Amino acid sequence: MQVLRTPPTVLDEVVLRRALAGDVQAFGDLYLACLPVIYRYIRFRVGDQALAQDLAETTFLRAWEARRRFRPGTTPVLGWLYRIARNAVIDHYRTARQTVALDSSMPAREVDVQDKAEENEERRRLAAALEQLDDVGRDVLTMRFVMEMSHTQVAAHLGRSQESIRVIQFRALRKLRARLQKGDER
Amino acid sequence: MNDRTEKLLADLLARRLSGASTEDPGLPTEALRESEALERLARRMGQAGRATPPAAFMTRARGRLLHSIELNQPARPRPVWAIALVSLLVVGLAGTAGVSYAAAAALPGDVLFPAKAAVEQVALDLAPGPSARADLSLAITERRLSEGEQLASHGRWAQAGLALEAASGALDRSVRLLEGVQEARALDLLSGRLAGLLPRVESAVALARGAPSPQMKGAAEMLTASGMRASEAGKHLGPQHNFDFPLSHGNILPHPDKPKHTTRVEESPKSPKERGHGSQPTHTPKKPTGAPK
Repeated sequence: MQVLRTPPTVLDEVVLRRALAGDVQAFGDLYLACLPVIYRYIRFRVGDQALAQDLAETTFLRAWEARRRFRPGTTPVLGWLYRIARNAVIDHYRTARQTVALDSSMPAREVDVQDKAEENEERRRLAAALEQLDDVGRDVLTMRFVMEMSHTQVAAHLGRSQESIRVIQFRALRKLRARLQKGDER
Repeated sequence: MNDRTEKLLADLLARRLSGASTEDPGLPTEALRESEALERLARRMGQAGRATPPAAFMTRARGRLLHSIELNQPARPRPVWAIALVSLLVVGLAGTAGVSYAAAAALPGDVLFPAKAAVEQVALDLAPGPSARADLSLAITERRLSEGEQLASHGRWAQAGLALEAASGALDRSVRLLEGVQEARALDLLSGRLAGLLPRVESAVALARGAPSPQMKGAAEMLTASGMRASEAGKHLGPQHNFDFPLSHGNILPHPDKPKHTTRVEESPKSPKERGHGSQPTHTPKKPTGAPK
């Protein structure tokens, strides 16, 4: 059975402290350490590769500006970045007056068109259904399966017990499945 | 579904998704089927979300972000004393070649050194673009290293420590500026220069570690950290160049080339000879004292 991978979220505390204190080089290190996970989330939400890159950069620029408001003891850094990324995606759609993911990226070769379109449609449907869940269910499923975080990490990020996360995960998956089935019936 | 069944199914699903072995918890077949369906859905999400940033994006991402941060930083007001000193040097004393020369020849810790540093900062601010700024910053880094070595050779340890600390800051700044260079050819040339600077940094670290001065040892650590950051960044900026740091299997070893000095250094009244510390330190201590942290 395939095991869901966990992301490399180990970040040197010293680097984090220096980054939050305004050390640009350390912030660059923080960026590189967290970028793959944050990018994966944004890409899942927007689909388009170039747009995901822009929004990832926007996320970290906003984090730089907001660094003084972040309290390392209260929220793990990845959870904080996830919130900023989520807001960046929401702002993007608000500005662009779009309600669901934008798929402007077109595959270069004709043979890829069918596969790419199916992939995008699957991702778009899942992302849209996920957005209809309650906040905690959506966050748990996003962190677990899109950002590939472990139960332990999600529990730490959301300030809940692992047992609670497992139950929320189960309930949220049930709701998501029901939403998707409902969508299929239409 | 009652709470107990829900919890059993939630645990079963969590174990399956984590790849752990699962025992039959004695649940109804229908509930187990639902659990399997939820597992498939979770894996679909994982599959749909699987994306890695393109390599080209990752390579330049750090530099682009730091460049954007720099562009968005509010301009720092120039300290009044710096403006006064620069004005004094550039306008008031333009004809007084002796004083201008003295400022240009000043070393860290000297009275006129702040004037020299202010002039360098103005030159950096006025540089016509990112490449020119990075180029100048690299030159300043080299200058600080030379000054540190020069001061150390005369036993002026505290001043030498200041110079090497300044070299560490200048090296960090050079890397940051280099990461903002967009033009490929300029980036290649400048990253080559940065790579060429690392053996000198290594040599300066060895010198500082061997010095009988806590300030020099502190400077050695700062410089080591800067060298390692430069090495890491350089591997992305110019992978065609050698950015190994330190070069010798984790040990900071002295660089074989003796640094060339162009600036006259006044003899300190407290040189090691006069204080009875034996022979003067060389630029290449024979026994490097430990690996970088």
